[in-house]
Amino acid sequence: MSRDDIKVKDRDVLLWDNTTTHLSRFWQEGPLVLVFLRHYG
Amino acid sequence: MQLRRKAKAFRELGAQVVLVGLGTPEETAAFRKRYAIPFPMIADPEKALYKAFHLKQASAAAFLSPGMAVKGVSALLRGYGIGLPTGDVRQLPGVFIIDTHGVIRYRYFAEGPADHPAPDVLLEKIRADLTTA
Repeated sequence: MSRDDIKVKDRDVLLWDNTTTHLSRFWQEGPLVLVFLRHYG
Repeated sequence: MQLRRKAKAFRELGAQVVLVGLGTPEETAAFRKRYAIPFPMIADPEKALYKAFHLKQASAAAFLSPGMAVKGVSALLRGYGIGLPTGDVRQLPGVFIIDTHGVIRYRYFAEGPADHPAPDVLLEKIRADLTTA
């Protein structure tokens, strides 16, 4: 791991179906590509 | 959405693509349905995750750039139409690749509203990390 590597703090996130999960759930099985969108519309 | 067309390639690498949007769960669900998005989506109307990842906001100059006008016309021609935007229109996008230890392996902070990495760049980064892991 290089000095630039940053570990993501896990947190609860709200999903589109109104459920909540841990963000870490998405990187348990493989790499996560987390894409932040612009506004909808 | 370019990522949607590459969904199979991400799956084959064992990668999970997750989108984060600025709307409520209801708005996010509507967006996901409208564009037939095959990925999970996080609803972040308070921008807590955007702030945690230090994503930027567009300047007025970038927001009103010719590039944005071209993107808008292009979207219209492809039948996406124009609706009232939901969320902060100045919020810039970004992409992160996080490994199975929760470590950020790639980060991309957009410099303008229309700026984003090509899916092939993301796929190549994942392949390279898997090779060196």
